[in-house]
Amino acid sequence: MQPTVHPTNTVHPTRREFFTASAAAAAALGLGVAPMRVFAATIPATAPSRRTTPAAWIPESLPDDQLRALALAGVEAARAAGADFADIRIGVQRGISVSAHPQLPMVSLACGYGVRAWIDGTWSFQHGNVMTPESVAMTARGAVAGARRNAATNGRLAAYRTSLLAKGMRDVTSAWAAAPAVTGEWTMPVEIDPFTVPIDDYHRILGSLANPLAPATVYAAAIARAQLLEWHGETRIFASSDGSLVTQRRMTGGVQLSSVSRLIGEVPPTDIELRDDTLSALCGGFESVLRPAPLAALEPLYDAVVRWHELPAVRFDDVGRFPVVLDGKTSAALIGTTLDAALDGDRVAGFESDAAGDSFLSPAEDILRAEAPQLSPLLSMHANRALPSPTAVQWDDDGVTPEPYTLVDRGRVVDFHTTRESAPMMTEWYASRGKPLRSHGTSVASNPTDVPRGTGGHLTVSAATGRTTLDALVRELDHGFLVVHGAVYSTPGLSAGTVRLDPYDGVVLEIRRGVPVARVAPKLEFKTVSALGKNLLALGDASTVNTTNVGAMKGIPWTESIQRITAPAMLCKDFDITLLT
Amino acid sequence: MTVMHRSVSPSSLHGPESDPSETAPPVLAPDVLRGVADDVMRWTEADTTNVFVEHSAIGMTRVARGRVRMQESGDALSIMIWTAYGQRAGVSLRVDQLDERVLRRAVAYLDTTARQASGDPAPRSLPFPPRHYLPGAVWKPTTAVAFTDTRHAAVFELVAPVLAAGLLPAAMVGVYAASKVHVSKAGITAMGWETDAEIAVTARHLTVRGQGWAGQAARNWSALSPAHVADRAVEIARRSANPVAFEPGRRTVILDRPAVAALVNAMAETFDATYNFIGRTPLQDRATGKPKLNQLVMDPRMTLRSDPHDPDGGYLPFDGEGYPRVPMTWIDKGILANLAYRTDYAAQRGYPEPNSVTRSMRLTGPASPAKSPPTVEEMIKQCKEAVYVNRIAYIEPIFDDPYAGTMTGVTTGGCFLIRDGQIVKPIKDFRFRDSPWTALNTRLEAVGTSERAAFGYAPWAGQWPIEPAIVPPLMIRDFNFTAMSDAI
Repeated sequence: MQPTVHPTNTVHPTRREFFTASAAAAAALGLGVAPMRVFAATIPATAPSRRTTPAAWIPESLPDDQLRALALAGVEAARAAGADFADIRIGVQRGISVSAHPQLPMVSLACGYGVRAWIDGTWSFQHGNVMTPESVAMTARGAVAGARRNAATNGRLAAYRTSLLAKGMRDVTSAWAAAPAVTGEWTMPVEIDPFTVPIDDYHRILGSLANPLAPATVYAAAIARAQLLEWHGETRIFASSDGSLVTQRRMTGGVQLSSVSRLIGEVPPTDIELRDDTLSALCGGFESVLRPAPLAALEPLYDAVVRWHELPAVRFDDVGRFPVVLDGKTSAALIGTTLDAALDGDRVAGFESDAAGDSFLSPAEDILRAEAPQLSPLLSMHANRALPSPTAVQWDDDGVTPEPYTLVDRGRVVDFHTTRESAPMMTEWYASRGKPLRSHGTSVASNPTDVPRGTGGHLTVSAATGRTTLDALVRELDHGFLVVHGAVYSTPGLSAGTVRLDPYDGVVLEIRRGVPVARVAPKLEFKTVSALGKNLLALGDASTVNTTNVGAMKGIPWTESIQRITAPAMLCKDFDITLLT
Repeated sequence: MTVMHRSVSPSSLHGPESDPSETAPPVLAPDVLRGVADDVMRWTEADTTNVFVEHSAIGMTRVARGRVRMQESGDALSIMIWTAYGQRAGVSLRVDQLDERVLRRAVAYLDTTARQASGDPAPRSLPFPPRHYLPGAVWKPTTAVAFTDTRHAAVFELVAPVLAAGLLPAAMVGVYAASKVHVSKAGITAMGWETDAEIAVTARHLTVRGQGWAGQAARNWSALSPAHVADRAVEIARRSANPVAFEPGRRTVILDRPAVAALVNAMAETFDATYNFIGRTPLQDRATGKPKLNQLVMDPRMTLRSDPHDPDGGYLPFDGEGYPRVPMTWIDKGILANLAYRTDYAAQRGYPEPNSVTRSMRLTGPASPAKSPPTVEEMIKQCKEAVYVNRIAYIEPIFDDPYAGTMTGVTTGGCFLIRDGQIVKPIKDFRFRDSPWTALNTRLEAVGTSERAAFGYAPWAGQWPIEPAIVPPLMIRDFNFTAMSDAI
């Protein structure tokens, strides 16, 4: 089909040929000219529409074998253009989100790809979403041309870097950890495909989750609010010039659930709202909102919450240092925004120096070889990307099979979150341990059109092995605070932070002689190494463990990556409350 | 009008890096997007239709540890269509293809679903007064050309001087282009395109603590000087080696332009009229609950304006709903002169013309032909004891007292102690907690010359590129530093 050209637009002869060739090639591969690439639409709120499934509203896209053909066309084009190495991520993403009436359900479809090319130790990346071999190949050639140009720039800069290298600067940006080529397919287990569930059933589930929680007392009531049911399914192909070709199918989603408790008759009301963001990002399909019931995640807390309503809400004006008990969710948030971010290989290697920042746990070699542990011996942290974590993949976005690894062993930093790009900073350390250098498989491109960046998979902080419940930790406080579902904010350097309440989530209780006496809203400041080092007095047991998602912005343009953290409650001393005016 | 229908997306126009002979702009021209929108209008049978078409492209090069580590480029096309029949609820759809078959399928899908929609529970009948748009003035061909050519040379010019000074650079060189068209059956036709560019470098010491940051941003690539930026970063870094602790507290501060830009960007949303009528903001009179229009809210020397034709801080003359953006004086010599009335709010309250708030602002001090505003160096000479702040790493509002407008953040990129008229030593970064509204109202000591400031990494300020902030350096008395913050 000859395209019609707008008369005001000048089309270069090369492009005119390109259009013609593109249509012919597309026909030859049977791709057709117009599968949908990006699509987002609302579903009308009518009875017939509600009986349909999301799949009925999402246009068709390319089948897996054609996506694989495009991926191979891309890496072949990059190789032919002279790349030392190239890889491509190409994917189709489908989404469904259903809120309570009168909001309209929304479906979406997005296709796209991103090509990385490597020449002389220099990367370039180009993305696109025209799903034809010619366009993928042109994008790949663009990435190669960019890498070649940047490599030339690096060649000119090399003479200037010589003196810094002589002074001991580690050159960690021009290496790339080896990894075997991988082939195969992997599908995340799904029992009930959410795209085949009628819209009506989505609304029934939302309605069923809006229930009173815990027996209402004379004084207080609590109710759950299910705000959104949402799933994202993706088929992603990864291919590389060294022979990798893998297909992965993932499905994550769930329910955004919050619960509100209120003192009956209180004017104005001082609600206590607790949210669980992890229920909205579970691996698997619709079965995740059927069993176990999402409300079970919140119910155990509600007896306590209803009692807390009976405490007075007061302003806390004292200054000084106080011990605090952080519940599992708050502990996870604190570790996620500080220590875990500091263990990010991208930051340690200096890749984020102009953006999110560096890490106080650098240089890596110095940290790993330190004589004394950097943190409390109570602290051990491990990471993995295995099921049932929603971060689970068979291969990361560098084509590496993730492995479980230990980051902190009884207070000593022993490893970092690494990708193929950041792993070379660990070369000497691994060699001294007789271990082969390899990436931990933490590379993630949130969308195929994004540059892959390091994340941490699912981080778990080991709980205490003895019996140490949340109540037991609270009883240790002569005068301090209990923070439930608190928010944590770190300074750009990660070495300090603040624990406080978000407007719509959490509660802080003042504790005297081990007993809650008031609801307060202080801002508790801490130094990371102290809070997780000499000031960490105790961890809770398995009954205190909770999970949260921690978002982190990286890169320019900045994009958010989500880290999942599971941690027990913590008892710490010497959190600061300062006069703020 | 014949519409260009292609079997490929505009990413074919953002051509291969190896072909500098490709002189076509990195995005489709507005009249091309207008043709697409007009076709959609012709095909749909809905009573109400809005079409918003946007084609954007970026090219970003990042340097880490003195080497180009990554270059990212690509483009994105979005065609958003919203339709409604009579008083039924509207439905929307977004696609990214120019192919006629795809667009016709999309329109047919929308028409079918819109006919099935139920009644809108909150129908809005907005007035559509005549729209007059200023011509756009923010497309600069030199920036469009820089996508494939000149920006690569800038990387070397930005990084080499820092390496030559024995410092470790991390840098960014970014270009952006976007073409936007908004068309509706009610008669809106807004179209325009824009470019923007930003360069920034952080120079760090290899063996000791201390860093210096400098950056430039401009619509016109030709206005950027990588060598100047590099020299500035080196100068700050050299002064910043081994910062020492200095007691926090209320101090006289000299905020350089990047720091002031962060404050102004964070203050911009306060000018939204909705917040000032129904919420609590620093621009709302605590006693009456009404906006402080025609009252003194800032030092009488200060004026805050937005203008699509600002030579340094211009922007497209329409917002995301196609309403005109007109020149606006927010604060005139300290007096609150105007607020921004969003579409639905303006319609409900009977205001003649909505005007959306923009973060692109120009803050200026007094214009005096007889006396030039003081430079930063001249401000330093005036100080017996003060703190110089180059940049703010992040900033966020604190809602303890919404009327106060207090914000908190952390300094970065160069923080110095000034004594007896000169910089005496580098000091550790600070966390601050203060209200720019009171600082610029009752504690302003001196105002410099306004220029556009770069933001660098600033996710709290919006998506990259951040809307232009043209601001002066300021000297402020009793600025509240609450704690030290370790720089990395």
